[in-house]
Amino acid sequence: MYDLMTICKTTYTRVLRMRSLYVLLASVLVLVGAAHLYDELSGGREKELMYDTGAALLSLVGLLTALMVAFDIARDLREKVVMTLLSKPLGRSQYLLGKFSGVVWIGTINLIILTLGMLLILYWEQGFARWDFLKLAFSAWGTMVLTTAVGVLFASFFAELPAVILTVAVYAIGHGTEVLYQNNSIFSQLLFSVMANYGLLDFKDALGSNLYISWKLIVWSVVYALVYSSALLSLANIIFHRRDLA
Amino acid sequence: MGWRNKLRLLALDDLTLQVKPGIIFGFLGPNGAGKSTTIKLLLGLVTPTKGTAFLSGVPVYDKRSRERVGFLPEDPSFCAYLRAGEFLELCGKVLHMDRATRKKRISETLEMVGLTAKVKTKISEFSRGMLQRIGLAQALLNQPDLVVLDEPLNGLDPYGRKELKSILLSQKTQGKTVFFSSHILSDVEEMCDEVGILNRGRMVVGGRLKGLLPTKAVTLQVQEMKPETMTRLEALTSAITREHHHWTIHLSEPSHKNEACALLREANNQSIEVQTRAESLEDFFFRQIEENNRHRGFSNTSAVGSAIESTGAIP
Repeated sequence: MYDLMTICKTTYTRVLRMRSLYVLLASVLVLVGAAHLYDELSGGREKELMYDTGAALLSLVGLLTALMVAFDIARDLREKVVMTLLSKPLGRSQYLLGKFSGVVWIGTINLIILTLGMLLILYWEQGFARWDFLKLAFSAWGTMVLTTAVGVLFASFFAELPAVILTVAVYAIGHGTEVLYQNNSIFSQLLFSVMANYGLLDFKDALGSNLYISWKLIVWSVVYALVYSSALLSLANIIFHRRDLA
Repeated sequence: MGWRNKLRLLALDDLTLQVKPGIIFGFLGPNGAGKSTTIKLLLGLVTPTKGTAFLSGVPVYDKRSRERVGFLPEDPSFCAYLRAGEFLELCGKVLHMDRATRKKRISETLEMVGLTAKVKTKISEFSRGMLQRIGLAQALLNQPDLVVLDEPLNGLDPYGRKELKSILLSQKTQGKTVFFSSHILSDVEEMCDEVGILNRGRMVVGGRLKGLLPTKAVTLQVQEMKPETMTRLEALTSAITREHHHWTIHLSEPSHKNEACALLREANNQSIEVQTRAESLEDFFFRQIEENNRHRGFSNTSAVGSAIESTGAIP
């Protein structure tokens, strides 16, 4: 556990020192700061637009943070940094899980900051607290964890670019698994049965339309994300253990 | 032992190697011989498809085998986003050193490698030589019993090389074992107690350096040389050269000395100057590799692992 935490903290430090993270957060601040312009842009639908912007930002920040793990692990492998670390009494599982935890940690902090900011903005602009935004944030957290696990899996055997592209591909296809389900081909059905179903974690439209979604459903969808992530991490672990670091 | 990578390329084949504790061991071989593969195998970075390996009696697949090992990889690259001090802090934590010991050893090792002033400099700003130094610092951080270095002298200027050699010799005086691969044979000869020569995955020869190089290279010098004498000497020599006003006869075997001297006296009763010298590690290395290639039916001019190719890499 100590080793895992060490790698986790180092990954956290690394992500914190990535300039791209600050560009991302600055963009978010600009979008949030421009909230008062929404009524002019939206033709009277500023409340919905503001809510949808917040939801989209949660997804974007979650996705981009998760992609950092694919960059980080694949880069460590390419630059052979991992050889120095694993030549010490550090297990490969601890390394992989440490990387995963570090990115999930910083992703969690990003989402908390964004959620608090959005809650304040929504309260300020709309005059009442939109607590259902917390449901959106929690499901976005589950999505971020799942995407991070997908990134770890691909980074354990691909270089940076393919790992990132494949992670984004799974994220995109995973949001449209119902299309796969509706298609009767064996390939589509097979893909549907193994593909991460991001649709289960997507409540943006429902919550944005003021539909009631119970916390129970949200929690179960996040449990699904955690279970699926565990399976992906186990697979990544097996692959990484078998991999020669030459 | 045999290891194959995913493409079924034979990476190493039949290595058998044992290194005694408390010595400096030089691991030699041409490019592609399998030196780095052996090192990675010993550190659990590569998994053998066949065979076994142990570090201090612990199998290499067990991460505890690496608890008392320091490793400097070839062409090192470390966490570029960290500062030198932070990187060593990370290594200390992974090595399970407590906070006080970590602090003390980080300061000591940085001083040892001459990077004390760079403790707060980001590794991304380090030169090749400085990377080698910080690499050495992390390898020696926990005062390991075994230090494994893959081409540690690469990228170092003459001062750096001198300092590194001094550090490695000091490790030996502290009773530590140093195992390193190198192409710089003069340095290996200067520092090592034992060497092992690897060629195409097989140990060609290994043992104490003093015992391995007993062969004396014998040359004879004479003022005159008749063509028929030269013909008669052919079977006993590896080369006959003319330099200024004398002929130099390089004997292929030291044992041919008496026979060659008798032939020269018989042909022309003149004085013969006999020169005897110990074979250098470089000569020994080339001879062993070439003989091994010949014995195994490989060309000495083939691309990978050839002795000819390696001459380019050896200064």
